[in-house]
Amino acid sequence: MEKTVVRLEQVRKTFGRVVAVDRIDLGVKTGEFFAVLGPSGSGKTTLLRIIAGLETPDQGRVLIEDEDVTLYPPYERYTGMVFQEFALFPHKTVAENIIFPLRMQGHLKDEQEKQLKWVLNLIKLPGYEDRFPHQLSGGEKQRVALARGLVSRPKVLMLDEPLANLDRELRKEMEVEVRRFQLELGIPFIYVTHNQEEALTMSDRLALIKDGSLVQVGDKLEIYNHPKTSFAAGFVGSSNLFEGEIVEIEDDAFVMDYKDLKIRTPKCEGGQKGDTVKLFVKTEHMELGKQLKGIENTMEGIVRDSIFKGQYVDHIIELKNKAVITVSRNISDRVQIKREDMVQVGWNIQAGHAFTD
Amino acid sequence: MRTRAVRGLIWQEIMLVLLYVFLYFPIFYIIYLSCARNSVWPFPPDFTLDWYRRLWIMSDFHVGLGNSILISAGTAVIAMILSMMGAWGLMKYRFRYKGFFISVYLLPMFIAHILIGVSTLMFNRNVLHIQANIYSAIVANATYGISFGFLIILAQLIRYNWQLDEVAAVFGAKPWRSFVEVTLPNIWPALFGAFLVSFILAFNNFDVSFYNLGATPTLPTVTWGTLRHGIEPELYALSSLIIAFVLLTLGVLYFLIRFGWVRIGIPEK
Amino acid sequence: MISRVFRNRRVRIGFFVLPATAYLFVFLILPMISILIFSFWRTERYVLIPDWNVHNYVTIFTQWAYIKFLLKSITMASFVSAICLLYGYPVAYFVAKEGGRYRLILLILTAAPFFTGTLLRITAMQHILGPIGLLNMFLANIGLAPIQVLMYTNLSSSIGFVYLWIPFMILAIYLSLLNFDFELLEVAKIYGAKPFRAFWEITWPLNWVGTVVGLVMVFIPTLADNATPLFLGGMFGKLYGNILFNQFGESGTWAMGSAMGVVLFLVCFAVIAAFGQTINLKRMGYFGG
Repeated sequence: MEKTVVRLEQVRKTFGRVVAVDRIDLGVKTGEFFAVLGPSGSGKTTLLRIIAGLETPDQGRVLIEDEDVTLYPPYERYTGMVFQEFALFPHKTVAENIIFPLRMQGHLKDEQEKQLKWVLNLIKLPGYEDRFPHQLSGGEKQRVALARGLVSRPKVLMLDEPLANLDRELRKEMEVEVRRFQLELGIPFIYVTHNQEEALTMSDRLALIKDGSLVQVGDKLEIYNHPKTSFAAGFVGSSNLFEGEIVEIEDDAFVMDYKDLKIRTPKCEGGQKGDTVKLFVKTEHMELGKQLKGIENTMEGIVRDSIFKGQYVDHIIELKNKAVITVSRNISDRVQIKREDMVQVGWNIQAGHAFTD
Repeated sequence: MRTRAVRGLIWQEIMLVLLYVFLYFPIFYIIYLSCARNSVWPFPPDFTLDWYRRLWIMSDFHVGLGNSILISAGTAVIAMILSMMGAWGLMKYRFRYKGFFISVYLLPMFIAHILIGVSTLMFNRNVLHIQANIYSAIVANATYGISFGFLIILAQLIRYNWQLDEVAAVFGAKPWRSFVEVTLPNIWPALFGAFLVSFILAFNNFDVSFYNLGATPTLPTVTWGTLRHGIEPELYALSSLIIAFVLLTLGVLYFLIRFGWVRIGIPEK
Repeated sequence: MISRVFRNRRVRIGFFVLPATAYLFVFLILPMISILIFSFWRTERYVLIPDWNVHNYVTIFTQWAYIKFLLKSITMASFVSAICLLYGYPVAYFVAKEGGRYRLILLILTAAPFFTGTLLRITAMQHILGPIGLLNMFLANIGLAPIQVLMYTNLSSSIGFVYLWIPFMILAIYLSLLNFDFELLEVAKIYGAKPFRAFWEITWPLNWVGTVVGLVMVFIPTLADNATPLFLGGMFGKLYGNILFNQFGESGTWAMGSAMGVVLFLVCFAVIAAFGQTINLKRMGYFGG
C-alpha cells in the first residue's frame, strides 16, 4: 500500500532577505526514489536540511510518517543523510563510522555487528572495518557514507549531491549502485542534485525546483516529455530553443516567425498574435536527412560539425537564417552525414513544447 | 644572483641566532648562578647545590608553591571552560553582533595586568567588601586566561569540519553525546593548550595576584618580597626550577606534535 | 524538560556565548567601572571617601611631576615598540618564509622565555648589566671601564622591556605571515617592483593587522610596568607604572591611584583606537563573516 512517508506543508524559509524555500508542498511515498532537481541556489539543499531537522522552517509543517516533526531536533527524527563531502568521522574507523547510528539508537552489540557485516557486503567492502577514512579513496569514502546512512534503516534517506565529488567513471557506476541499495532496502530516498542526467537515470519521481518554488512535480518521463513551463523544458534534457513572435493563429497550431523562418508550434495558453513564444524541441526529437518527406516543420541547413558522444552523435547544423541548432542521432542511424553537407532538419508540431512565459 | 640571495638569508639567520642568544643568555645565566657559590662573580665556576637546599627549607617556599599551583589550576579550569564555550558558540552559530562578543573576550588582552589587579582589589574591597583571598586571585587571573584560551581554541575551531556535528545529529547523537564522541576527539589539543597557557601565565603572574592575595603567598609574591631585601641566590634556584618546568612541558608538547601523537586539527585531504 | 527550553535557538546560543561575557563583565568591566568611580573620590588616611571631585585628575594633568612621568612612559613604550618592530619583523618574516619544518620548534623557542615569568628574568638582566653585574665585572677584570650608560638608566630599562616583550611582537607578526601568500611578491617582482617596494606595497599592508597586534601587545605592558624600571632604571628611571604602583602600596592613596589607572587605561585605549582606525578590513583581504 502506498503511503506518504515525508510530507511538507507550505514550508517557507528565509535567510535574512533571501527566500530560500517559498511555500512548498511535497509528498514522498514509501519505497520511491525521489529526486529534487534544480540549479545552484534553487533551495534544494535547504529543503533537504529542513526535512533532516538541520534548519527550522519559518512557516509550514514537516511530517514524517504522519507525525509533526517540524520542531524536533535532528536526533529525534530517525532519518539518515549522505553529504557531498562524505563527512566521515576522521578519528573513527570505517566500522565505528558505520555503526554510529546504531549506537546512538541503543542497539545491542551483536545487532550492531550483524548490521555491520550485512552493510559491508552490500557496499562490497568486506574487510574494511579497521581502516580510517584518510586511507580510503573517494569512491570508497562515499560508499562508507552510504553504508552509514543505510545501516540504521532510517524512515527516509536523504542524499545531497553525493556523487558530485567523484570522477565521471565512478559516478556512472555509483548511480547504478545507489539505485540498487534503494531497491534492496525499500525505504524512500530523497536525492538532491543539479545534474539532470543523474536525476533522470535514478529516480522514479522528480521535483523541479527553481528560486525556492517547485516548478513541476511528477513521474520523470512525464516531466521529460511534457514539461509544463519553459524552465522545465529547458532544464531537463537538452533542447533547441526557438524564440519568436506569433504571426498567425491556425486551427491547431501557432505560426511563429523565427528570424524570417516560419515555424509551426503547438498551441499554448494565452497566446495572441504579436506575443513572444518560446519553443523547445529536444535534440533527439528532430529528424535529419537529405530529403525529408511529410514532416510538418522542415528547414534547410549546412552541417557545421559532428560531435561523437558514444551512443549518439550531436550534429551542429547552421540554418539559412544563421541560427545554429543541435540534432542528436543514434549512432546506428543509416544516414551518412559529413561536414559542409546540405541537409534538411525537421520535426512534427507536437514534438515541440511552446510557452509564452 | 645566487650569492645575493644567500647573503640576504645569512643576515637574517644571524639576526635569529642573536635573538636566541639574547633571550636565553639571561635564562641560562640564572641556572648557572643557581649552582654557583659566589653569585656576584661566579668565575671560576664553583658548583654547589646549596641554594636549592636552602630554597627547599625556605619557609614560604612550600606554601607559595602550593598556592601558586592551586591558583593556576583554578584559573586554568575556569578559563578553559568559559573560553571553550564562547569560542564554540561564536563559531557554530550565525547571529548578529559577533564583533561585540569578540571584543569582550579579547578585552583583557588590552588591559595592563596591574590595572586588572588594582581594579579587582578596589572592587572587592570597597564594593563587595570581601578581603583578598585565594579565590579572588583565581577569579582575577581567569580574566586574561579567557582571552588566551579563546584565541587558542578559535584557531583550532576555524579548521573544524562542522558537517561532522550535523551528521552526528542526523544519525541520532544528542548534543552532549555528539560533543564527547565527535568534537572532543578532534579539538582536545586546543583545550589542553588553553589550559596549559592559562596555568603557566597564572603561575608566573605577579601584578594580578599581588593585589588580590593579601598575605597569602605565591611564588612570585614570595620572590618579590625577597627581592626587596636584595637578591638572594635561592631565588635563582627557584627560577631555575620554573624554567626547567616550562622548558620540559614545552619540549614534551613539541615532541608530541612533531611525532604525530597529537594531531592539531584534522589532517588536510 | 530542559531540552524543550534548548529548542529555542537564542537560548542555545546564549548558553554558550553568555557565560564568558557575564564573567568578564562582572569580574573585569565592573571593577574597571568601580575605579572610574573611585577616581572621582578622595582618600584620607587609607580610607576612601565618596567626596566627589575632580581633584585627582587636575593633579595629574597640571602637576609637572605626573605629566613628566606619563610622557616619559609613553615615549619609552613607543621607543621599545619601535625597536621590537624593527628587529622582530625580519625575524618573524625569516621564520615564516624560510623556516620550513623548523618553524614549530623556532616558534616554541621564541615563546618559551615568556612563560618563565618576568620578575626573575628582569633581576637576571640587572645582574648582567648592573655595576657589579656580569658585563661590567668582566670589563673591570680586563681593565676596561664599566659602561655607564647601561647601568640603571633608561637605556637599560629599554633593554629590559625589549627583552620581555619582543616574543609577543614576533609571534603576532609570524601568525599573520602564516596566512600570507608569498607568491604575491613574485607577481610584484614580475611587474617590476624592487624588493623594498614589494615589501612596502604588498607585505606590509596585508600584514598590518598582525603588526598592530604586535605593537599593541608590546606598548601596553611596557607602559604599565613597574618592576622593570624599578630594577633596571635606577633612581632616575622611574616611570608611570612605578608611581601607580606606589599609590596602592606605600602611600595608600587609593583615589589618586584609581585616577592614574583610569588615565593609563585611556591612553591604552586611545592607542588601540588610533590603530584601529588605520585598519581597513576590505584592504586587508579579509572576507566578512
